[in-house]
Amino acid sequence: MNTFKQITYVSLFAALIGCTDLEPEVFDRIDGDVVVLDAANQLIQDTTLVQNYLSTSYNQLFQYLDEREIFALTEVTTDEMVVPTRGTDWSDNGLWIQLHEHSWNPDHEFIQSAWDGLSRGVARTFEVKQLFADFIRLKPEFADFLVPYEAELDVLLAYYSWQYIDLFGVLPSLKEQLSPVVYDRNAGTQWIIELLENAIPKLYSKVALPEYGRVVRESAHALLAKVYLNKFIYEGQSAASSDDMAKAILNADAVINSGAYQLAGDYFSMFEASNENSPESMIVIQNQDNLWNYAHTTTRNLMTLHYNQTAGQVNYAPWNGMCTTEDFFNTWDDDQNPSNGVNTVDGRFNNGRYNELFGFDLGMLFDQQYDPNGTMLNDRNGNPLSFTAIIGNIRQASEVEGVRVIKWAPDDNSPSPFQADNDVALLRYADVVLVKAEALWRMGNSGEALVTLNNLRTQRGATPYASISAEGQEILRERGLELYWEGHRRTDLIRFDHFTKGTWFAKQVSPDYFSIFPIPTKALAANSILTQNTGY
Amino acid sequence: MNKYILTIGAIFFLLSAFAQDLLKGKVTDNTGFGLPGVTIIIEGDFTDLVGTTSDYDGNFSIELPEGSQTITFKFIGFSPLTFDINDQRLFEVEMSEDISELDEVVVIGYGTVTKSDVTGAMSSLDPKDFNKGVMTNANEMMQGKASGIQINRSSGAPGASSNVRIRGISSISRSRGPLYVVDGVPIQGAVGAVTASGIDGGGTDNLDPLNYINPDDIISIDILKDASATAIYGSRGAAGVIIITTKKGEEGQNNLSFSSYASVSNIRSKIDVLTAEDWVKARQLLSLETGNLTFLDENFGASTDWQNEIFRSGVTQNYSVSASGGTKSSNYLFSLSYMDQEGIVTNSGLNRVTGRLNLSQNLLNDILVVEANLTAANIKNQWAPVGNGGGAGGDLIGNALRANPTMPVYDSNGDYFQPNTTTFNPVAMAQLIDDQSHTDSFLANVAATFKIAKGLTNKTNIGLEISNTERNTNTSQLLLPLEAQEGIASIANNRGYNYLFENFTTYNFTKGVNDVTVMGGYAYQQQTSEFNTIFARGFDSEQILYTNNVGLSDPEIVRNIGSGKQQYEIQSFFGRLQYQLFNKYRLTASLRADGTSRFGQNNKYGFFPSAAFGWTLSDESFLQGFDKLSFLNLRLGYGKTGNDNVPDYQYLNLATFNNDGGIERTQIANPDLKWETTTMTNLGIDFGFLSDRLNGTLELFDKRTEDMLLFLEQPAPSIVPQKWVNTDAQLINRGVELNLTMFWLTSDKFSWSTTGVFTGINTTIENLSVPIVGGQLNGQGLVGTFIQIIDNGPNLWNFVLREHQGFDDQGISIFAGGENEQQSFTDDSPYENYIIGLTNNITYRNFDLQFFIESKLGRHIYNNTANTYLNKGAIAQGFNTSPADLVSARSINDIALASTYYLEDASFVRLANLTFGYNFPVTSIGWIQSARMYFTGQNIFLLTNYTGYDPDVNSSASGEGIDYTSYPNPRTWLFGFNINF
Repeated sequence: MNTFKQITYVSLFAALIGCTDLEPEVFDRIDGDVVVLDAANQLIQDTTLVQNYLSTSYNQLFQYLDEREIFALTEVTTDEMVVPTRGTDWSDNGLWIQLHEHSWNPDHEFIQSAWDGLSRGVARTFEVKQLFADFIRLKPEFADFLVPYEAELDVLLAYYSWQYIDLFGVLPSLKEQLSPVVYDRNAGTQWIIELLENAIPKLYSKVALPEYGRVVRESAHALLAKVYLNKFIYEGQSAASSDDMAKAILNADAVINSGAYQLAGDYFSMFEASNENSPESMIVIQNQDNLWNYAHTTTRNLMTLHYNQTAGQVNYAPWNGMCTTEDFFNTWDDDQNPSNGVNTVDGRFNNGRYNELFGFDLGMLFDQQYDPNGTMLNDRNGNPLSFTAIIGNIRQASEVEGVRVIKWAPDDNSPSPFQADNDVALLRYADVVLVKAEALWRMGNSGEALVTLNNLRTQRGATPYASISAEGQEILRERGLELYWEGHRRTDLIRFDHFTKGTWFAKQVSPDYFSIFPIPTKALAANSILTQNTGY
Repeated sequence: MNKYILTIGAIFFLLSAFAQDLLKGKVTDNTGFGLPGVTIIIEGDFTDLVGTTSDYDGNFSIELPEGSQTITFKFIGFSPLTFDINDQRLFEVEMSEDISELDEVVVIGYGTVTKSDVTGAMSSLDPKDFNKGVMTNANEMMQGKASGIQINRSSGAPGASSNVRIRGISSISRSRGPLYVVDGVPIQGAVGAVTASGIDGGGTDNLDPLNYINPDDIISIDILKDASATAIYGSRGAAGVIIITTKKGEEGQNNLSFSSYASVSNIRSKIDVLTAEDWVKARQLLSLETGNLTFLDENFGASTDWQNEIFRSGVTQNYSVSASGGTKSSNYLFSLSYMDQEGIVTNSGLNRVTGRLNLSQNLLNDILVVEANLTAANIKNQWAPVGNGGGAGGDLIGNALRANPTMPVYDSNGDYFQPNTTTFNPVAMAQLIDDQSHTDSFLANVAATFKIAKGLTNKTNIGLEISNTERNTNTSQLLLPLEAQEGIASIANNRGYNYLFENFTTYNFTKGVNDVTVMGGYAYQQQTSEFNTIFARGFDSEQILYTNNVGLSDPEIVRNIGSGKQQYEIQSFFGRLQYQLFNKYRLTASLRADGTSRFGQNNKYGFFPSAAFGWTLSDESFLQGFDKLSFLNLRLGYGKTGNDNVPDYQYLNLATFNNDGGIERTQIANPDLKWETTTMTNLGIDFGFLSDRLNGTLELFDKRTEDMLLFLEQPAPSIVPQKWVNTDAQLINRGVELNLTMFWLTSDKFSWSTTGVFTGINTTIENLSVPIVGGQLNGQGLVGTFIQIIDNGPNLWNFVLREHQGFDDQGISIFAGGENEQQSFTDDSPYENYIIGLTNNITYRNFDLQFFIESKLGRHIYNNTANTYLNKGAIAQGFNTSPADLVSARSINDIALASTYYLEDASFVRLANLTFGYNFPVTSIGWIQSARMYFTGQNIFLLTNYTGYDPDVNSSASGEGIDYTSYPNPRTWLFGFNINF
């Protein structure tokens, strides 16, 4: 009998040590279901904590800095930017050339990453909204307090959603309990408009909430103005309706008349390291030099400068990639005669304020380049580093071909690469002014449009226009000169029917369906409600 | 039961109490020659009673104690014999040499069986089968030696990991190797694999998890291949199980052994690039053709073979000492080893010290056996900056290939010649990046086997494995292209804790012609892993190694720090029945229930049954007429195994905090996630002809993986874009394995045998909803290039590439499909269709010769190295290139797009190992048991069309069969000796 006792003891021993519920402790993260109540309790103690939750949504704006996401889709597909293959450099399996030549397909990596980025933007914002809803459910006394913050989130949600509508022609979104829903382009546009219009009365105005970088009532108006301006495209109409244009003007005026924003006196100061006081920033990515991030504004310099150029203390070797097309470069030319060079007095064209520090200009970089000591630079083959407007062949460019563009001045105080302090405005006051001018022109009010347009040009030191042509080319040109490399070009070209039909360096007329990007293959497979966009 | 046994015992005691018997005899071999030193054991009811050994002429005599029932004769190299004693007092025994190995004991998991009784598919290797030479771990010792197992070195770096696949890939979701069980303890997978974070040029090879087990300590490696064998390990058996058993002391065999070897390794062959002279000529020609005088620049006047500068003769020393012995009731083995291995790339190597203590003690009148196996190791790795981590600047090998050959290594001041901030001097790179890791590993298990009654035993096994790796990477600011980083320090620590408790009871009884073994048990395992990382830049001084005082970094530059900790638990209940009838029909059935902490409450447990049937046909009367057929055994097996290889805590909603303290979710709970299961059917035939002179095994299998776990895209918008889900996709592997051994000659003076292993595997995928794209290339200009796909059909990581059709009259590549240049599908697969291994063992008197030829046929490798570096255009940019591309019709302006131009046939035949040994005749010296010296060559001869360093590599992190500046497989010459006292 002893034996059986022993077996029993051993088994019991095993059972005691063993028989676990197989739910080990979580160490480096927290159980998402438990934490909400804790957070609500903390918020009662200190209501300023609410801002911490908002940054989850704001942080998603950083995706616009990565040169291989949305930024590539909005710029490389246009005349403003081209990434030629130089030797093997920047070949990247043809990804850049496909974008520029309009020959992409649903498997394009950057299209996938842009889609994923927007997906996170929308979802993360909903996540915070849901969190606020949970707070209110747990502590009803939060309801009133959270109203303006929820509205702030709605503006960010509208921004991400608008990008979805604009780039992909569809709006995958979420409903109650974060369940997925898909709006088509029309319904999605309407949904965004309602979201913004409902949010506006609940938002703080800029005067009431002067804190830099926060989304306020004027930001919502500005975004709404842009949505109305583009609405006819989203509805598949060939021309804008007066109603929509009137609403675009109404919203633009709400910003202009608020007095909280004004055109900057110094154009390039808006892009410098210490640009926190820019009077034009409306929705802004806030970089800090104590924050390390790959997708920092430094990328905007590295991607375009030649290998042998260096930016101040942070002498990190640049990548010799992005440049602008000859076509766009020549739009600066006031006499429209490129053979005698580009003649312009426009203050936005280039500026030499940092020559002593970095050796190169701000704005357009062309011809011979110098180091900070004024010594002529050479390329890696020993040829003079002299950027040319003409690029012979997008597939076989030399190291020096293509005019380079530096908009965000390098941050000389940045202790290391990828810690630049320059903020990046995704929506800027000048854009609102241009929206107003364009809406006026589209309503047939060319006179008032010209005044608005010239007001901006004068401010930038450019010669005023005499008139606006029937096609509105002056408006499109002006948007390019003001907003180049800021991620607006594709949308603008589409509105002027120039995106697919227009031709420029290494870009032929492309089929109309290229106005909307395809839904990435993986995204399409993941969601049975989605249908692929026409043509792909 | 117990009472019954006691009663029988008592009666027996009474009967034999007064009989002081003497038993005598002689042991001879089949030629009648007396065998000295044969172990003779008299066994009683269920314990050994007494033992002796035969004398010089093979004679013996022994006094029979009371209770004696059987007598057993054991001698190494001969089949053991057991007889009932009854009234017999004279035993003249003829022992026959054991060539069939069918009576070897093999380890099957929670037990052992003799080889002939195995019903599942398995391969067993012992020291005479192991690969010889510089062997850092068990994976290297097995390569090519067993059928059905594919082993690819990820690189030739010392201690680098191998990709081990048993019967093809069983899961496509995460690279999943087999389960390793060392002395009963399933060890944790990726211990010691720490990757340096985001540095240009950081070495990225993974270290083999088995590095800390001294290869000299291993007595056997048993590889369980089919599900009827692996199902007893249930959850983690889907990718096969490799059971490693370490040496134990043996009764009456006091042994002190010392072994040592020294070797020299070199690169087998360099990649052909232009010499300085040819390079200058080529640039002059280019200048003439284009009229561009700048091509005459950048001639620095020196003549440097950069590959010679970074490769060296690597010297390896290895010393191993062990002492072992035992008495009737206890045995011990202790060993110490030291290995210092220099890599063939300068500034790379491995240094290892291991210690082991294996003890066993019988207690309570042999009712209780307590065993302890302990091993501890300290491994230092010096990493060369070789691998995928090079970024746009390239790694050491890439830079050595492309570096301008007219550059000198040093300038006139004796400093490294570094012409500008974009050009790496390879020698400077090798010396100024100091990348080291230290791993301390400890593995211990204590087991108690309790013989409760005859045939009934209970075994409790407690195991503990600890691994602690620290990797320090210092990238000096003296390396000009990285000067702007002002010195980079990276410290990465990984710690792993692995606890095991298991208890199982085995009951064996024989009744008439029936033999039954029943086993049931419980196991619990907990694995905890922790990491922390520090990444800092901006150092003022070179006098202190950055990582030794990381606080000296610039506080203004953001320091990247991180840490994390996870835990994984698994709880199992298992049972097995082995039934044998007439010693020729065998049935094995097992069931294991595994619960994992990774899945949610609904699906935590998976049930994994198996059944196998074996039938020894050669014992049937109807086959007795066939004299030539000595053995024929048929096996049929079926079983299910599982895979829970997803990240931990999948059933929870997890959150973390954003930079400002707000909550952000990082994982959405999936309570429905469940086990991926693999079902395998196996048919095996074991055969022996001509008294097993020709013997072998043929296996046919069908392996299907279902409910496949994939990390799939979620419907947008989603906080986390991908999520682990079970899908309908199926992965089907079908294959043939053949093991064949022929003993051509077995005379005393001269023997010769040949063993061949053959593996053929065919893989198909069904019901995959979206193709999986992978195989991302590395290198400047190749960012975002994916060249492999997993799709329905025979398409596991098949290549998807533009088809290169030559060059046009401008020297520009022509691709099928023209302008669009879209990648199209090729049928080419990175996996071999066939693997063949051929081992010959020849002995003549005291000399022995072994050589091993390995071949993998029908495989392709993408030469990412050539795609990145060896293009004609490189010459125009001041880099070096290959002579072949230079004389081709290609233009210097041709873009190096990924295409079939760089896809190469990587089939090969390799004389992988040749060992020539001499055993000193030491029978006259009493205190030396054996002494042997040997000479080994590894990787001696290679037949392949592949143009890279070695066709048997895979350096891709996201694909298979992509070679990007892999650390070359060295050729090694080795001299060694062993002495046993």
